[in-house]
Amino acid sequence: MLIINCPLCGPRDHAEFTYIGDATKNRPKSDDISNDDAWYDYVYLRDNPKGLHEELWQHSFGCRCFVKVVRNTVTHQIIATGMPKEDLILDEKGFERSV
Amino acid sequence: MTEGNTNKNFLRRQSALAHVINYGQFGNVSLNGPGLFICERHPLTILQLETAKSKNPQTLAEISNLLNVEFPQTNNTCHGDDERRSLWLGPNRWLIVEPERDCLQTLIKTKFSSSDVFLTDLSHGRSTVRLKGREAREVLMKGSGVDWHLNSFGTDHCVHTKLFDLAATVDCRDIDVFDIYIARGFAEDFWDILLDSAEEFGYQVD
Repeated sequence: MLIINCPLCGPRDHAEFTYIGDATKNRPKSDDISNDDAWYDYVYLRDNPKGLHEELWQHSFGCRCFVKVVRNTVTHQIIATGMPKEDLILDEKGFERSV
Repeated sequence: MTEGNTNKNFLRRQSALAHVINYGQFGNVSLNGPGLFICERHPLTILQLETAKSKNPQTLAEISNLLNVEFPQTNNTCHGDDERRSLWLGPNRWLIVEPERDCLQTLIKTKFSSSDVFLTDLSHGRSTVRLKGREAREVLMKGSGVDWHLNSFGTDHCVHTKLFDLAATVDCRDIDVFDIYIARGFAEDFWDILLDSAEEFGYQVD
């Protein structure tokens, strides 16, 4: 059982959360056709990293908020969590919540 | 436990559990008496209130004055008593619970515009079970991985979690008294699981 620390509700079972997707993708600013490559990347292309990965989860059985999670895809260890707009920065010891 | 309006002309809500509740003592009741007392709280007015972010503080203060109940700003906390209670549900979102009397929704709607306050009446969609007794926390522990220890989950705290695999809101009314709000459609299922879990401690249905 993974424990995800919801920034609003506290530590909860991962069963309370729904996986939303890759948190590293940013929606392109414009929908004009000259931006097709950016949209193609945003909609279809996903990395499959071995190691640390930033993801969005929704606390569906709790506060229903989106939570940004940094997870190690090899060990499934949850390294850090925060609100979606927070930057989870990498320092020497690993990911930590930014101030 | 029947609550609220007893006026004969008042259209009474029907309990989802009325036909499954058997009153009495069951399970492994010890010489110290039942470890748990279980009852349904019914009928209740349950209202979800959400405020527009931009107008949050002043609107909330006005509603608070109107209803004479404080809205908790701290995560996972509650305010009030059995007469009127407010629970934190999420950012800018609260649950108001009271025994069914006048139409609370109309009262708020007449005073506030629909662009400032968003109300959802959940009275028909929720069943409420009150769990009390020395073994109440033990039973909750069986249903969810939340930290139910008194230091983390004391009086006037609430959690929204997966309890026995069902979405539930648990409100700690006192050290060993808990109100559990569950979707009406799953109430019967929840009641069965709850009684199965309580059997080893012995329980009394009031």
